[in-house]
Amino acid sequence: MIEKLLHKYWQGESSQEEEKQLRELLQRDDTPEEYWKYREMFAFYETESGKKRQKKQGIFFFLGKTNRRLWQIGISVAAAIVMLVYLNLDQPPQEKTTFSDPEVEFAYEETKKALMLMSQKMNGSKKHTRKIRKVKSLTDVFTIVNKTDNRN
Amino acid sequence: MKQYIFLLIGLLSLNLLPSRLHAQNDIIDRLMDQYAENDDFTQIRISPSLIRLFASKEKKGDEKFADAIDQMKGLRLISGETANGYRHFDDVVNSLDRSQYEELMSMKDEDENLLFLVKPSDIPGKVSELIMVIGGQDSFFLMSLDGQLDLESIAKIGESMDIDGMENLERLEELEEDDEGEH
Repeated sequence: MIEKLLHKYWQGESSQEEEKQLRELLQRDDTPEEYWKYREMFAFYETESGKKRQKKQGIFFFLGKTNRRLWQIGISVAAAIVMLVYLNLDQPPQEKTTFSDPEVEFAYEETKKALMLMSQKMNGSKKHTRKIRKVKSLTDVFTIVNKTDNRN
Repeated sequence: MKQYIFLLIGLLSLNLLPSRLHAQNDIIDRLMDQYAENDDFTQIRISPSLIRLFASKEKKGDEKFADAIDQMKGLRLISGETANGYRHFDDVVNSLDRSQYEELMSMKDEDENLLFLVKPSDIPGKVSELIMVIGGQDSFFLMSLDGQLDLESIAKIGESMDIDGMENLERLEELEEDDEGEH
């Protein structure tokens, strides 16, 4: 009997009833030793397939066909948004102006340019040194400032 | 005592007391007024409140300017294409009160005359005004910074551009160390 049921099971032809029957048969004390190995397996299968069926029924019961559709759409939209955000985060920060008022921004840029020019000239721009008649270096600069300190 | 206070108030109202904050009605302002209508000249005047606005913003990548801007109270500059570049240069040099301004650095070459002047500040190591004048065959440039300026902060801005500048700054640092040794 067990042999027959097992055969049916492996063929995928057994019904739920037959599987249940098979399980019961296997669990019995007088089951031949050769079938003992199947005991746990069928105990396991019973539970799993039973669970699966219950689950399936549960979902269907909860959502219904239309709602499930909406959920699918909702989740894919959410996923798309998450992807967009994630991709945008990777982009380098865009260079923005420091000041909202463009005139202030312009004045700021001009100030920086002027400072840069002054600084470069101070550092002795090499461009015009072909015929230098009179040059004082920055070492003299510091000397002059120090002299002022002593005066005060 | 009362008389003294009245005298003080009187002097204040006449603005006879020396004041660091009093805007200089000097050669720079005069030149700027003179060329106000002249399209060949560009004039920029940055007020203390505008400088404060610059200083109040934290900026990435502009750190080399941050020190200088913090120290500044104002900026005036006039720049233009003119055949009279050398003449304006001489005008400025002659008009600036030499008791107030000290010559810092000068350079003459075939293209232009360059001069830096400073007005020393009460604070040691700082200047209250830094003036740069450049007179050339076809151009003139005059710029004045005021505030409590540390020359090294300003020199630092352009140092990465010029290897020569680096050498000068290094010599400057050596001098500083020497001075510390003396004290």
